[in-house]
Amino acid sequence: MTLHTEYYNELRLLKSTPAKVWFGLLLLVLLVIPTALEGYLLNLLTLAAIHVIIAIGLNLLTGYTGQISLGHAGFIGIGAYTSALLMLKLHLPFALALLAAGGVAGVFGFLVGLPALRLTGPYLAIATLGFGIAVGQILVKWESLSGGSLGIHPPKPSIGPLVFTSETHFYFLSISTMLLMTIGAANLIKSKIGRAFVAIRESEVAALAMGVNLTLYKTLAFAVSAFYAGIGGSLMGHLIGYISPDAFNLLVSIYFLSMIVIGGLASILGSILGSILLTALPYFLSGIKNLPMVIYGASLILIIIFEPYGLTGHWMKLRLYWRMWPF
Amino acid sequence: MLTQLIVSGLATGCLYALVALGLVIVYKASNVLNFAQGDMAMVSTFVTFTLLETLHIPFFWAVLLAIVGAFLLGALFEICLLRPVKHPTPLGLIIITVGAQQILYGVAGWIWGYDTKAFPSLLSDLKIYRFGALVISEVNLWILIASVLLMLALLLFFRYTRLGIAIRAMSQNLITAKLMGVSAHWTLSLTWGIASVLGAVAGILIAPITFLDPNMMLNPLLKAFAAATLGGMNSFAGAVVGGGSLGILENLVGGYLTPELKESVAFLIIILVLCVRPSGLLGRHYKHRV
Amino acid sequence: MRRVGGTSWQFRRFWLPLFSLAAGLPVISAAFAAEVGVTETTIRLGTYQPLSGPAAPYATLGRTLAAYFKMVNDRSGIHGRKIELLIRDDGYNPANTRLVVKELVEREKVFAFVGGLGTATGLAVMDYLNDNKIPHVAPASGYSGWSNPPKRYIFAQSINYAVESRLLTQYAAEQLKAKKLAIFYQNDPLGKEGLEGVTDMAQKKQVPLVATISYERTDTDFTSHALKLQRSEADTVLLWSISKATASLLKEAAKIGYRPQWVSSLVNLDPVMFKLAGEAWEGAIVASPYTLYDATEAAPYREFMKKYLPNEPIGGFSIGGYAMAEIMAEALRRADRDLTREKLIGALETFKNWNGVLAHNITWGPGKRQGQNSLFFSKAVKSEYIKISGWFTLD
Repeated sequence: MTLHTEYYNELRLLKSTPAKVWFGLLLLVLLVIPTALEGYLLNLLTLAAIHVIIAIGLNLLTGYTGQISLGHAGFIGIGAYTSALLMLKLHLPFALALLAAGGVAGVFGFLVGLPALRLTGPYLAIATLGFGIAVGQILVKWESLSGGSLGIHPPKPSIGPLVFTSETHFYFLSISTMLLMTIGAANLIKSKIGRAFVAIRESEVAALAMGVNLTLYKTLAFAVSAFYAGIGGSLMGHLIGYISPDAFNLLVSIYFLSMIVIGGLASILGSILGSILLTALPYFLSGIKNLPMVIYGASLILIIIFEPYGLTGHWMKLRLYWRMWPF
Repeated sequence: MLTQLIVSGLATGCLYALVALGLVIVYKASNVLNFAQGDMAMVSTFVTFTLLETLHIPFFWAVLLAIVGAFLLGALFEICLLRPVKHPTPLGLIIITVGAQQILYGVAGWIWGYDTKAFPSLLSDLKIYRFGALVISEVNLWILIASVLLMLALLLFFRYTRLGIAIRAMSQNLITAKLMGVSAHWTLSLTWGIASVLGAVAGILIAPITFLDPNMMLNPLLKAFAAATLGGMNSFAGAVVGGGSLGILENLVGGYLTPELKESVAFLIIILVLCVRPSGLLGRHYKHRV
Repeated sequence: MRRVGGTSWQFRRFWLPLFSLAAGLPVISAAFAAEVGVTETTIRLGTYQPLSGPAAPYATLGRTLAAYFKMVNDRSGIHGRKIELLIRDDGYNPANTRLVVKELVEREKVFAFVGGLGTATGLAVMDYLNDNKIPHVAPASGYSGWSNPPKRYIFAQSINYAVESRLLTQYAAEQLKAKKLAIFYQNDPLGKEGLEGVTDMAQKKQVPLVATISYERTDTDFTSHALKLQRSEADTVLLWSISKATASLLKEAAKIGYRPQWVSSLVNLDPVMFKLAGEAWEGAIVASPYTLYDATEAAPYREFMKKYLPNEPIGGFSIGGYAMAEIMAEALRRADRDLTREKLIGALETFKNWNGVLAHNITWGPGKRQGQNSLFFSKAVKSEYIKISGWFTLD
């Protein structure tokens, strides 16, 4: 609806003054939330923020680049264990461990991306599925490192003199990491790299013909996505205070895939909406046996059939409707 | 011990092959990885259980009814869930089967509960036949016989019946097949029905051994994915060969190396095959057109 | 940690008496009535159970807890209060356990936990509950880490794997006169805790342990396991395995004509084994930490199941749930009407060789947090279990 007169306009994240104001208001709300919410809900919100990080990473890979991953739980697990083990065994400071978690997961993402160069669609799904399950099995078997299926307790993180002990601390840690990573992703998408990702999704052959280096960008997409998952995994481990290989199974991979499908593929807003919805769902459905699975399954199917663009698609339509109103 | 391990591995492998065949048929016809294949089979097995235990229908009729039910379940799956999708993408279709899997699992838990049940069987698990030094149980013998018969029937169906040829034609080129007068809709539903029946047979055969609960098909399904990958996702023969060799390989690793590695064989195979020869042993390498 | 969380404890311990001295009795009763999760008419308890997911059959335990408290309430409750049990589904996933337990503590403000199910799930919240001074009575898990080292607010009840495996081996060596022992165990830390105990005791009793065969939780084909056991020529095989795997192994072994004396962990003391393993289960010896469900003394349990849980199977998980619930009810009875968490702890510490309908020989005390240390053996004969030994305690 707004025409851009300059290329720079296209690249800016917040295009109009109202957008800036809304963003400012959002920040303000995020800031005061801890004073208003009780521990459990705050905890849930913190978890949602961490889920957003992972979902955005997955969306970069699946939504933007068009590469399926059914093994994201593997990357999350690698991140969680890397960060916990570095702090427990090498006594590294948290900030370094967090970055290392992303880094190590990213390296694994790169490695998974290599065979993915030759695979598409269902084959990639199976390959990543195999990877995800393999990570879980290795974590179980490699007891001397991972503590086996009994799991380990990641320590409470601290940055400098600041020790993150309470829910509020964790909330701010997760929310600020999430904001940083979201802005990073939004910028990435608008850069040359982001456009290369989308080109690969639309047609690999065409992208190649346009001079997109497939090897570079495909493995990069995997690495970046895994980096996000690793960071998310690390935060999740420290938040919960306990990790075990069981917590990173195939269902978890499917859970995150559902988040971005329900929220909307190739959309940052979609990743956020999907994560919040799926994190909050169990809260409303707790205590009803079996129903959550059925509702969850049914919503996946209904969204694919009726609203392929997910919640974002719906939001766009609504916005368009009001903008065009009364026509 | 070697032959013993191979024969019992082959029996397990046949079950993997049946589930894998279901996956491959569906994949060839509609380009979908069916994550609900396992739980469709699980539901069919539970239906057989109810027919036998609650309604006291004789074994033969109960199995026959359950197979008809499985066929309908598969066909309905295609008609109700896949056909309405306007712009199918591989990811979208996978998510639909995942959603269906969750529903089937939840509903099965609801109706039949999560506790382990013993599946009544005509065949004795303890009765054994001896062929020289080789010992084979009645159950395993029947698994082998039933699977081989079913696979032969399938081979004949795809070779010589009009419907079978139509399905194959469709999986090669949908548009040309349509132009040649194949009714794509009906053929697709039929394919899904057949795949579901294959799963149901595998479920009924496996239930006396692994017992009955909503989780029973989770592991066989993952193994079937590995088998299909090993043999080639787009090859019927590949699924059979892949299933059989996976079953044998697992048992050999368990028997001669260490049982701890047995479960990892399947996933090592997936990763190895996809790195070295993504099309699998017998599959053709697919080409991508702009 | 102690120091951070200690303030309210100090408050209660040092300042409260001063206040009450100044203001007289009303303050005390007001303060006690304000204990979290306790009102004039109700006591609110919590538990986490796998209502959905792969471990869902275990949730029978949670439903039994709820039904038992319903029975208690029907009989006018405890000290005039009804018990309210909130069950939350964690899907057997430790991350979820953490979430639902936090919800129970912070939103629902439960007084204490009882019978939370699972080892990994429990470990995810063990320190959280202990640090926040919320009692967890009888977590449903045999992991020895619950009571070793002892934690003030965690009262482990189930006999732990380390003790159980030693008792099993001792029985096989002394009473069954085993010449060659073998163990079949699940390959995870809990299975290994069993393996450790068996190896240790076999060495002490000087019985050769000729085979240690492990299986994976996901295994379905047990041919190679049975063949290996047969070749080891063990005359007594200890089963440290869950029902499905046990049944499959026994059938496989029967097929190849291998019939040693099976001695099983208490996990398999379940009528379902007769259905799963059929004739192969005949003659197996199983450990039992609770009074046998078909014994005459256990009649109240069977009546309870008929009346309150007609659709749940009689078996290991309802037996465990029943025992845990009766222990909790007894503890609440022993703590008097002015209920606080500290009083509950005090009441639990008075348990000495206590017997309920099913629970047997429960002892806790200051610094002692492992409630049960004894078991007896029964034999599977024609679809029922028959007690064949007295109670054994590890010396």
